[in-house]
Amino acid sequence: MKAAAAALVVLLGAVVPAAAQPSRSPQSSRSSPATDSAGVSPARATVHERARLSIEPAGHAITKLSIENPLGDVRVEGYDGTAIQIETNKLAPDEDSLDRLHISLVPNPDGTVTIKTTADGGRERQPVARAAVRIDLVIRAPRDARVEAAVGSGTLEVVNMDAGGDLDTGSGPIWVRNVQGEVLTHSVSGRTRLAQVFGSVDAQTLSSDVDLDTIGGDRLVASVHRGRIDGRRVRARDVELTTTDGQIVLEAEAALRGRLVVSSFKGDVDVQLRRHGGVLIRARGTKVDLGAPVRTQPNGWVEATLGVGDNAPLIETALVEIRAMRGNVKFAIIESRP
Amino acid sequence: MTTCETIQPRLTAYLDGDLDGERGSVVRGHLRECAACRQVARDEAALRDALRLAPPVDPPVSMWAGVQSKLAAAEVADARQPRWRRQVARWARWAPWPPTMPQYAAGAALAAAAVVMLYWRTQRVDELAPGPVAVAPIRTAPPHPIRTEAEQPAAVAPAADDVTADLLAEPARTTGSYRQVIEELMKLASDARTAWGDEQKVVFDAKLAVLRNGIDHAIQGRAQQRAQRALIRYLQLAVIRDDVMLAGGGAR
Repeated sequence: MKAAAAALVVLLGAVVPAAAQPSRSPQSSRSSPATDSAGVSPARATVHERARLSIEPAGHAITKLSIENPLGDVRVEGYDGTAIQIETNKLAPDEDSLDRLHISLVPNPDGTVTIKTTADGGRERQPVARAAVRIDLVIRAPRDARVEAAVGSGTLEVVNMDAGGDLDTGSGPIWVRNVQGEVLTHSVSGRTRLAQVFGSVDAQTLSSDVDLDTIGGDRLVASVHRGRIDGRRVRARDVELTTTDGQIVLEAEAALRGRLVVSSFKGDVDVQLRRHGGVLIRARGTKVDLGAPVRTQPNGWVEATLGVGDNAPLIETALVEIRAMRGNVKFAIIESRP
Repeated sequence: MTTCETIQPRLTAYLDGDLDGERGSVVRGHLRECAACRQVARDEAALRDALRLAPPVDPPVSMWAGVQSKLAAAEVADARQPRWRRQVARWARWAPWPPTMPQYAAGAALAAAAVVMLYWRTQRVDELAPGPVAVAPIRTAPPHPIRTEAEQPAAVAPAADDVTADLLAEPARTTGSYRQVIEELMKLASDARTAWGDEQKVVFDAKLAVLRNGIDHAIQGRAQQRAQRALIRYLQLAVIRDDVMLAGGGAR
């Protein structure tokens, strides 16, 4: 009950003027379009409102950020501090529409800070198109806070965080950079880019590309229904990349006893591998080129073994499995170390 | 001369549109000049907006049954009364004094609500957070003047192309996108199934039933989309990687 009241209070707080809350120190500014002598705004003008605020933890650290912004972009930047600094940027075609945009902020005793944006409505409101309004959020947060964020068509960007996140978009792109910890991303049609991510990664999209650059950790799983997957400098012990209809291009490093499974139903698969020690490769596709002498099995699989001595235990060997059910497979070793 | 004490009790009726003509004009005029009352009006309007966004709560069927039975009992009792008592009762319904028991009850409820609101208004800043918290956006621009009646926009139903309606429709759109992909993958699975053995088919059907059950019983929105994503993943593995020979950490 108390939490619910707090949430409402914060919602109300969005319309409380600064003078009503002297103990708080947000900064805000609103700029309106120039108006003509009749006080009528130009048809295509917009009203713009910026605000900044800071939340200091009291007693307990901020451990999680839960953000829901269906109305625009979200950028979360980690830094070496304990407070959360939020910069909000609202945009609307007129003052009335701007007044409909609200940002609620609820700090919970468990260390979670919830930030949510809404556009209120009602019978007395004039309709305004969703594309005509937006709220963009830039949040500076303690590095060790986990980020759970959802946006619609805006960009969701998370950089310099150490506790991973769970990121969700509709059609908006996801951009994750220099993040550690477990990272989960899912998007309907937003391009997903992950760079310098160290930890477990799980990325899923329905109809957009996934781009992976410098990924390390125990496990990397990425799946795309319609779209391609590109990976560079991938070094995870357990890698699974899957597309239904889309090409996969991967440049990876095979970990000792690692497992790399790359599968596409309709797309071509191109894997370049840096290997340490032995690698066993199995592949199946319309056309398979493993760049090495191969053994063809009766069930259609093509196999090759690289760097595996006669007495080397198979369990030490990295395993690579490549499928392109209706596409071509190309595999190459680009660097070998014993 | 109007004062805040005389205006503020009328704000609810004003926001409800119940003050017409001169009575509404008096409140509007006061709001134009008084920042404090304007703020109270804004707070109340914002609270209404917040409550409007809350999901509807359907009363239990048993409550309606109770109400109907009490109404029926009251009608029977009314019919059994002598005519002169019914006339007195009808007159008493319009008499301002002495109050009846329901009037006492309504008065008590209003008083309790006022106390709660007063407490809330005075305590809400402290309840917010364990530490200094600021809320965005805080406006520095002067409050907008309350529009006159002529300037008030005509009451319009929420349009389908309005941002609020669009936001409400978004979860269904996303769920629909996932559903479409599931259907595409199910067709591929149906084709792949012809090459599967009986055991594989049994395992697939069982897993599919569990995942579909998860979707059906998930709360609409993100939870349901999460369940749909799990099914998509499984279908992709079943269709594209029907032979997961290397599973199990590399052991062959």
